[in-house]
Amino acid sequence: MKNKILNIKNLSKSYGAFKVTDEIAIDLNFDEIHALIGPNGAGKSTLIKQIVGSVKHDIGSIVLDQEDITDLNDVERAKIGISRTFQVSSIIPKFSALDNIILSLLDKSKETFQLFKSIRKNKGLDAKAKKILREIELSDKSNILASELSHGDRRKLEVGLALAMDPKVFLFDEPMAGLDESGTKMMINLFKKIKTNSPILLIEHDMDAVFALADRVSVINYGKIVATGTVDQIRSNVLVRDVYLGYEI
Amino acid sequence: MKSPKTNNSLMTLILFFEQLLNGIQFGTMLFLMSAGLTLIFGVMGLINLAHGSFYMIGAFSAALIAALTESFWLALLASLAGAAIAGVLIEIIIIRRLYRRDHLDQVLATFALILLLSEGVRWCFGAFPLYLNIPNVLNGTVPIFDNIIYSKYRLFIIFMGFLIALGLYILITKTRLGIRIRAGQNDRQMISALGVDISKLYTIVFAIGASLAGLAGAMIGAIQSVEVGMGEPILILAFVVIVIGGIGSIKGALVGSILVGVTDTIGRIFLPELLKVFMESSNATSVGSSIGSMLIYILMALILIIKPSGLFGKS
Amino acid sequence: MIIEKFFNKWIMFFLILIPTCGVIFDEPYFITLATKVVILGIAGIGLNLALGYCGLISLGHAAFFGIGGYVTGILSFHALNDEVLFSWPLAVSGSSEMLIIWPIAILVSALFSFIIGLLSLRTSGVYFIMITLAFAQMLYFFSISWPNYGGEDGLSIYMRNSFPMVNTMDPLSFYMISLFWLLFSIFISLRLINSPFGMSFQAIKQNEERVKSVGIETFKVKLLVFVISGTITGLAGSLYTDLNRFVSPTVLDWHTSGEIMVFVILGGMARLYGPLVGAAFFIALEQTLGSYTENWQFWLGLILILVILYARSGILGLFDKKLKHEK
Repeated sequence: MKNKILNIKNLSKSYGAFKVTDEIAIDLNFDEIHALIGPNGAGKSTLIKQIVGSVKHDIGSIVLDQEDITDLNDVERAKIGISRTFQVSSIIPKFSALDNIILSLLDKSKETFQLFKSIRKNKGLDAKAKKILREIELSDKSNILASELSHGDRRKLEVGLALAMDPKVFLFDEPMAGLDESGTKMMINLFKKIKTNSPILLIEHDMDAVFALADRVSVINYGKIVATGTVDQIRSNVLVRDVYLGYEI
Repeated sequence: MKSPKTNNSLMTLILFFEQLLNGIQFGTMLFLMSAGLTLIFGVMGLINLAHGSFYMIGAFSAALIAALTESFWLALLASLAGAAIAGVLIEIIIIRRLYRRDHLDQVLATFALILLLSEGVRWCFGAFPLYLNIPNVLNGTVPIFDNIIYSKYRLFIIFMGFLIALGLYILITKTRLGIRIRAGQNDRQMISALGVDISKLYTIVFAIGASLAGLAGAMIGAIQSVEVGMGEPILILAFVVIVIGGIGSIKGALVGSILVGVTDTIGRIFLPELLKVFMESSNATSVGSSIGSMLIYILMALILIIKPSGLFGKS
Repeated sequence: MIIEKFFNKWIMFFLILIPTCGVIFDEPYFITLATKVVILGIAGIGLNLALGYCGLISLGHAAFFGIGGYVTGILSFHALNDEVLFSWPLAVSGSSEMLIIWPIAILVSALFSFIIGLLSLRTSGVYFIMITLAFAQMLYFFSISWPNYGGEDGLSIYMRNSFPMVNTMDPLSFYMISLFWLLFSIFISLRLINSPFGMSFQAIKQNEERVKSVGIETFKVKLLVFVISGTITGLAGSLYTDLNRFVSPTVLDWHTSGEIMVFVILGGMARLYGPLVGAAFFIALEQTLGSYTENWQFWLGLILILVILYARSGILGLFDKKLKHEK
């Protein structure tokens, strides 16, 4: 158990008779990328919402780094070290790319309640934010308003916001969607680099990316985990082919 | 012979019962206001500060027709018609441009509308209050139990209030219009996909809300006076009602109205009496009446602490 | 933004020019009007922090304006009658010193905005609007039914409260005092909106869920903005009592909340000087229309509706656009 950073057991949530997640058990080792795949509507995004705490689960437990976080709310979980990206880009539209990153740095550096210090004169935050912009290859767009960025650049910024929090685990909800080839390549390299610090739970539809990146893969369908294993095990699993019927693997 | 003490407590009981009825009567009028308000918010997503203006317009329409025809019943009809016509016009000219705007724009525009309508009415009718007479049939009192007599007219108001609550219930659950209204409350996109003429539906809903407010204004106008600005105190109480009941819920509006009506009326009368047990009489009166006037807001705060979306609201 | 700065210079120029004209042409009424604009501007600047920058639609800022006003009125009423304000746990008497009144008005407004904010911020959207309105209304009814301080008739204080070595009854001196607080509140707002805290509350207005997800306690941030906002408006209320030497339940009326909101919107939301411009426009309208017709509010309502339907970015916004086109 010691080598699990995130351990989720028996997580269930239903809306009336409809079970969105059904006794989900999933864990995350130190320095791994664990991919979660499954058809649309299988419950992937709801699972993410339950892990970050924006949707309350009915039963089950979530343990992060040997601390039970089941009863913490979304902000508390974020502070303690869970950071996420959103499936549909969720950024601060009237902030520049740089300011978006700086916002994400505030909590860790305990700056949120600095009332009268100018943010423009904070060299430390500025340098950290610029470093992250370099990592996500957005340095040349640091002063562009987030709302004016291209779709692909917004996806990168999403990941940048998560990076800036320096969390214990990352939850990435389809980070590659809408990225061009070079963007995808950049993300793959980036994820490989950051997973040694903070492991990643990755939801992704781009199977090439999943198979290139993932150490383990879990398949979710109708709110249940139907299979978990290494990439090779999942590739050869008949059940997975059923779930992804018509899907090229 | 009864001892003075039992006599005294009997008097208190009678007073209590009478005030309870007053509270219910006040509550039914609040319901007429808040039902429209909550319906308009539920269907169109509009927060309408100017709803009190229809209360005023209804009362003035009634006073005008009563002066011309000397008929109270025609005056009541006029209040419905006057407020409905004003509602339709205002919806078409201004309100429908606000449905897609954010709450802030709606608040400001309808606040501006209050200034416009209040001054407009003052322009037409002058600054002096008008009076509306209660018809002879409803004058005087009627015995309810042995020792309790109560105003016929106030009973009539309670009766009308519940009649309209019943009517609204039938309208919403049993008629074609009601189905559309409920559909509109649940899903605005779906309803236009169903081929319902949505702007017509909105105008109708707005006019229903306005005419209910107008009727309330005319009925209360006969007890108090008909004057500019009369709709504002009751508008804010109606807001308290729908916050308590849950915004968008007509059931919540009914329960909230009675709750607020009774709490307010009983609180103002009995709180000073209650405080006299703890402190000297003159202090108790002033503290009691001050706190009595705040009681419904305290009630609202308590309900919000327990249930932030109101008693019947969707969270 | 550069254009806005250009306008801000002109606004500062007018803030000096108008009272100077008042002195030169011996029209103290001008100075009094300018003082009113300045004080109402402060009230609007307070609200602007919550409304314009953080997106909290408070329809209850009359509560804080009124509390500042009543604290001032009550303190000086007791000083005038030489009565103690309360005798337990400490004997406290009234005061007619602005330097004592201001901190108390600030503290009490802060306390009330904290309590009202704590309860109201549990909700959002329409609920928030209605609840802030309701709390202000609660204080309004309280002020009417509480007989000790004039009830419905209000409270007169006869003499303006005093300030060391300044004759506060002189219109120009009192204008300067108000102007100081205006500049102070603009300075505070400016510092706030450029701070990390300011970044947080401006982000909340745009996307609260995102701000939560980066670990920022948005409830605390909103509460603190609300308290600062209410406190600045409360300070304006204190000055307003001194300006009129009178305070009545009208300052707590919900029309006051609406009007403070109108200043913010007329000037243009989330612009530092917006509320001041809005207040100036409002007073100018009241003076000019009011001299032609008793029903000036009818025209005010009409203008407001037109502004909201067709000129959403306010007066400063209009100039902004115009100059951009000319470039």
